[in-house]
Amino acid sequence: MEKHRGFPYYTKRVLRASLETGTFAHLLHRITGLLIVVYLFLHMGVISLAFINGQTFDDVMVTFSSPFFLVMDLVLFAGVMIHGLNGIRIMLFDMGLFTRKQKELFWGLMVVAIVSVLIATWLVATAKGWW
Amino acid sequence: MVVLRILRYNPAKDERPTFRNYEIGPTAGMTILDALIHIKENMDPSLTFRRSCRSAICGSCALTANGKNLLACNTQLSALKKKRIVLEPLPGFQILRDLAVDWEPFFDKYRAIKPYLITKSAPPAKERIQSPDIRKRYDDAAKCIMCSACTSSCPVMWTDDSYLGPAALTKVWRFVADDRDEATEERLSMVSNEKGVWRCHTIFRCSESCPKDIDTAGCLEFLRKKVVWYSLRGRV
Repeated sequence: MEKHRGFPYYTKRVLRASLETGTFAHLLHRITGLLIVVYLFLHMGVISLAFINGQTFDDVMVTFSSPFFLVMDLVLFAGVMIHGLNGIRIMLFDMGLFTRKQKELFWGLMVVAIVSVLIATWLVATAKGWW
Repeated sequence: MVVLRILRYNPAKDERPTFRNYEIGPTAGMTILDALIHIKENMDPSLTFRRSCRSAICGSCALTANGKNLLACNTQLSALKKKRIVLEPLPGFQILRDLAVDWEPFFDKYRAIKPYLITKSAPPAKERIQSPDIRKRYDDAAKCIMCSACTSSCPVMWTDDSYLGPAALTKVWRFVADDRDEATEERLSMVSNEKGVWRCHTIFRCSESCPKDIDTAGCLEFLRKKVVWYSLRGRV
């Protein structure tokens, strides 16, 4: 009996189809979604440090303003933009709009995401005097 | 010359499916189905595949060519623009042999959604009349030939056995949009759950793979919209 169901089957086939716009959007949506959930838990953990020890919290905040964490912030921002904009795309479909134009809509919104990340990078860079 | 790389599998003999290559010289206008028939007649009579009408009406010859679900009979080898063409049976189904899959689960779901006109009012003297405008609403959905290319290409189907799938849901939309049908509420209640419209992830592989160019994902979205409107009014 050949397997034709299940998570490994899904993963293999979805990765094979990942160059198709719709499947690519689906994968990206899942990955950024997971990224945001992981971040939220880390975020809650770090913020709750303030209730335990104010000094530790301040120290951690200093660490977070290092270039590495600022770049990670930009990665997070990119993830949120991609997930959010694709979320809007999916909601438009749910309203019965643009279902024939899903590819153009996806790439159009991704251009918006890229431009917004570039603007955010520029803002961080000028604020930090890297520019 | 074109190399057809075909997935061969005989559950009675083989442990697992394996690819076998067939090199053929394509003639002008040769379709994938022509090539399969050529192989069966001249190179390997054991090759198994389904086909009936050879004119894109019956939907029997649906298969996966270079990762895309399509009809073998209306796709020319030259249209694939490759010297090596990989042919596989439709994904998400049990392979019966080579390119033929077990469609029973697909038709079970199709039967489950009651794919026929349901009326409750007394029949009129002549016929149930419909305006061309209303007919146009489900023009797209009515084109379905049930080849299962959409349902088989759906990544949700690859993980979830219970999902009705795009073909069955498109058929539900076909009857919901039809004003002669009088079971709209019953149909919408049937699909307003995790086995129905809410399982769709809007990946669009169904629309992309439809050989009749039906906006399958779009039909499903219209159905969702209808479910929401009816739920808001407490009718579903």
